[in-house]
Amino acid sequence: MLNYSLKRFVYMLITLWVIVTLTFFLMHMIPGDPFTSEKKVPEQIRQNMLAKYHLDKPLIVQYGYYLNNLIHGDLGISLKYLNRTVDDIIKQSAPASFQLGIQSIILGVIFGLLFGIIAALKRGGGMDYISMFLAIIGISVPNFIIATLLQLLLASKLKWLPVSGWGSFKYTILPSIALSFSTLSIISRMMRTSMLDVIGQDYIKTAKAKGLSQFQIIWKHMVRNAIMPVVTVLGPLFAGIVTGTFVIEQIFSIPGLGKFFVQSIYDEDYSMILGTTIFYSVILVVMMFLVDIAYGLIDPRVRLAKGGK
Amino acid sequence: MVDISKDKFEIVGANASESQSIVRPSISYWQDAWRRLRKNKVAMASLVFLILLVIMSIIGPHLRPFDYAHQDLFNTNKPFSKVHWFGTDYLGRDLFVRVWMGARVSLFIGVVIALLDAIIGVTYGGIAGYFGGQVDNIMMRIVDILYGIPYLILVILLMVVMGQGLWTIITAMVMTGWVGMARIVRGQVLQLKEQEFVLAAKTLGASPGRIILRHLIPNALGPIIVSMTFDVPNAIFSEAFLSYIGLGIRAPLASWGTLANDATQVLLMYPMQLFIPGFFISITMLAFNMLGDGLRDALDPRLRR
Amino acid sequence: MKGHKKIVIIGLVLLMALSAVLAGCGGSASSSASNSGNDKQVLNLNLIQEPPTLDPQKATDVVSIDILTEVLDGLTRYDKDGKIKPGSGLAKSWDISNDGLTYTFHLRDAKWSDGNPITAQDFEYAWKRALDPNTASQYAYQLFYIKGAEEYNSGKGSADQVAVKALDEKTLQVTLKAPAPQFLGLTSFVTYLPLEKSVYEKYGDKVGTDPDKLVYSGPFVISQWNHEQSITLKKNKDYWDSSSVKLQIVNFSMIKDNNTIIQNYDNNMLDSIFVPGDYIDKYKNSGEYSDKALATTWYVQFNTKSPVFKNANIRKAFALAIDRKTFVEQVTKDGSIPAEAMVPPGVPGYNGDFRKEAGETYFKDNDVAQAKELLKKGMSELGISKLPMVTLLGDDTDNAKKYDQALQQMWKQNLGVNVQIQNVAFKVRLDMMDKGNYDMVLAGWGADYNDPLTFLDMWETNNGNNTAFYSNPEYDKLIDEAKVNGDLKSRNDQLIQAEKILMNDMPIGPVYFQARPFVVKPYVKDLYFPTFGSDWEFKWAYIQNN
Repeated sequence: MLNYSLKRFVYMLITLWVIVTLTFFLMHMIPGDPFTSEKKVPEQIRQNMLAKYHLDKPLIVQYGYYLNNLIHGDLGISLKYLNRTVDDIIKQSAPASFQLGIQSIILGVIFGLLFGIIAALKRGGGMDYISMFLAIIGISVPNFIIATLLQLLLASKLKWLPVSGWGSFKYTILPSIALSFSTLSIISRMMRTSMLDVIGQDYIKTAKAKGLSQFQIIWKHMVRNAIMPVVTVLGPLFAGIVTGTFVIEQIFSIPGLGKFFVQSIYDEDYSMILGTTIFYSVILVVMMFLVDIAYGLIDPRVRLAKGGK
Repeated sequence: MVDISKDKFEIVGANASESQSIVRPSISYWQDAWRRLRKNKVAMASLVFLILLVIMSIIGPHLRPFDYAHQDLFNTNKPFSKVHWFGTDYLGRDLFVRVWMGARVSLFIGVVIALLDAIIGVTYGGIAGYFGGQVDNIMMRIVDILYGIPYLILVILLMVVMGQGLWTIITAMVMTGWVGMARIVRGQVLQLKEQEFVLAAKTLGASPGRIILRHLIPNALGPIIVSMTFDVPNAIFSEAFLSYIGLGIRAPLASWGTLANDATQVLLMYPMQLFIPGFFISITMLAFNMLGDGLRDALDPRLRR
Repeated sequence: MKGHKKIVIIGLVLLMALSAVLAGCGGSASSSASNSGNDKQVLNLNLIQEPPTLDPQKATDVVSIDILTEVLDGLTRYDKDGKIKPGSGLAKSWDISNDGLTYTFHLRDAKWSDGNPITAQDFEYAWKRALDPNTASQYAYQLFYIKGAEEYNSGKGSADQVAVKALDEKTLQVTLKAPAPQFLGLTSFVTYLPLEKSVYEKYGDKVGTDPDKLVYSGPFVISQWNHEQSITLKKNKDYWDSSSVKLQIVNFSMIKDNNTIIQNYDNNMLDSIFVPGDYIDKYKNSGEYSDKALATTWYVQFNTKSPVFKNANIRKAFALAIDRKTFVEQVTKDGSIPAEAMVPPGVPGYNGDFRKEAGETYFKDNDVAQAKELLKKGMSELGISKLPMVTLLGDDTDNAKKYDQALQQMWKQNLGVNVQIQNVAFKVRLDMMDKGNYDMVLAGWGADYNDPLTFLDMWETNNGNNTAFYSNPEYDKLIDEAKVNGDLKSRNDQLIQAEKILMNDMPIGPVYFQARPFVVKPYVKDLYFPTFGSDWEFKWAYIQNN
């Protein structure tokens, strides 16, 4: 296990390096640069600006600079928010996104699993249809519409909660709910289907025959065997949600990280693009690793280290 | 102990043809699936509904005497009426006609993307999961990399290289869309390949391709189908997003996604403009989900009778 | 399987109910009477986004300018009526030499928010800092009117050769390289706004990243700045004109989503907003609605190097076939007015409005018959019988998409021409324009300063902003002469002459002069909306309970 983890760690570093490298060269292929603006600037001023931020050097040299700084933990300064470091911006924006992400994942996972399990056990019953309806709403109505509707009903009309902004816990309620819908639907559908697969298996009959209690059968035999696909989707889902969701943060005017993933690319703010990409990728590869570990813990038959043959 | 003498037994010999004969009438896997699907009323209703939707998308735009692109700038944002059944949009275009024009684009993209994602994802995930070890490790790190590179950069570059068009959208979406499916299939295969029936197949000398295709994938169909049904609305909305940033269909052509997107801009004033495409997307999703459910049951080898 | 049907029906009912709630709120503008505590002098505005930098020499965008012009005073400040008057800013008076080249400013006694006096040396230092190539200020060129400025910035001269000099603590002398009637107004522009010399020296590149890395000379000071979230301004007690300032607090949010902005305004969380897109209909008759002219012209720009639009008659045909009246009334709806010339109304000419002096229009709006004829003529000049497919380049901003489609339809209806729209990301669009990689594009130009020259010198052959690649030696000559002409009367005539040539060659077909619609709560008084520069001027604003 330790050996496997060590090996995976090396692979993670390589993966990150490849992501950074590809992103670096791809983003420079987009037409324009950070200082392309509607009103043209005299050529000399442009040169001054490019020189100040080392953008006048050959690409490969810039890449060298970047990697060298990166190894020393320096993500550089934003080319849009001049004078602010990428580090600072991420540190300031990440907590809000992280809090929202965690809250919505908790909501989504708990209710998703619950709905999924109940729907599978009571297949064709009322709960099954209610959960299917919720799931369909969650997936076919995009979260920006859900968010706007929640905002309109609960904040604007009923005035139970603030319309937008960030501060205390009450500001997080609506965005967390809006954000949890898609998680909830994916998980409840996934859980329902794989539960149905499991219910038909022989070992469930065996367990029943052994006289195990209903709860034990569901928990120990069904859920444990059915949860694999849920764990699989949860990895990238988690990485995506805790690093911020652009639309939701925009609708509720939340000072999160989500907007930087989108805005930095439009602004061609190179250091910010790389900064956000690295931040996301680190969380992603760690999550993928944890998912693979979780496979083995949930189902001891799964062995990753060895080949199939 | 009862004494059993040898002469009570008779050697019949291995009769190849007889051992292969099956009690039930011989029907193929697919015939059986179709038979079971037909029995599922909900699934069949959904199928009929989807077929109707396709028919409407073909004839719908011709039911009213308006062109989908024709603007009447003096009749913008009008509510439902006898003339404009679904009202008009911000440029005074008839929304009934636009909804059905939009259905063509959205249904086509939704289905094509879901199929392509599934084909690529299942193959990739199946191979990675089955072979495991180093093969799996490297294949999955490639998936991580695809997840990690900002999608928007790829999309903008693709737009610069390929220009606007339906196939550009599809390329952009499939480029990264299949990885989710690949991970799910790989996860399922990792679990399934340790089960006895795989061991049995291996012992009988089945090739890896046959094991993956005939044994592992059919057993992982549940999550695959759920994932596919989720792919359809995702594709519909991604298309709206891509059209929004210029990669999608060319204005004045419409899709359900772009209709919904445009309407969100004026949600507080003209909610019906959002309601209509929203309603069609939701009900289509419902149909796809229920059909998917039926298909899952029909294709599940364990439920075969 | 009744269950499924039930679900569908429940779903339908739910959706209907939701949309009924939505519909209910559609028509009614906020009617709630101004409630508690309006005698508190607090104003709530929306900045829409985070200011990229509050370093005055590096700021280029309107959000940063919105904040900086309220916390810093320049030599001059635009008055309520949009005029520059002696004593409106830190300069109590000034002398201009007869050749119009040398300006001597006499500073008033005023203090920085840290208690130190504001000196002429602070100005000299700030302006030279803007020009220093190491500062890499994007707007350095706004100071290129000053003698020696461009040379210093491009490394061909030194800081000492820049003709700005503090004669003593209260006297600043500036020499221009050519007469520029717009220079006085420019001294209120953000790049010209100084900070205290010691602050620059202390914080260097970190100036303006946080409230404590600034020092203030304007009507307000920044009391709090939560990045990406809010900025709070508070009255500056040390401001020289603090008796005119009635507001105690100004709160800025940074809300970007249109629906959220509207809901915040309707719930009295914001006191004034710019009305986004189609919500104009919601407020148009509410009494809180108005619009401000923006000194911005929008036009269809033709690539004069493209195979089709190299022909002037075809360009004109496309320009004449636009129905501007319908366009501004039914499509933009924002109070914009049809444009049949390049320079918008409100820009000063010799004695009054340049637009009046030059004549209101150069061509007839929606002149379909003439347009058709010109198209035919142009095509025969090119020797083609069928127009190849032409593309209108667009971008991903909301309005652009809507406006482009309306134009597309007008060309189809009036000229029988099929135009295809190509949408690309904003910066990609700019890059394609630079490289001449387009046929035509709907583009806009906002004034850099209050003079017709800012709308005309961009069409000179070698101007970087001339992405139509228009070139007419006669035009270049007139503009070059006007730039150095000290006689304002003949300068004005040259500019009128130039605009006439431009409108005859039509590298651009003007469409509309932009206005920006806004709403203000009735309890907000004396909030001004300047034509250019910042979004608001709230130095004199106050809250009155009715």
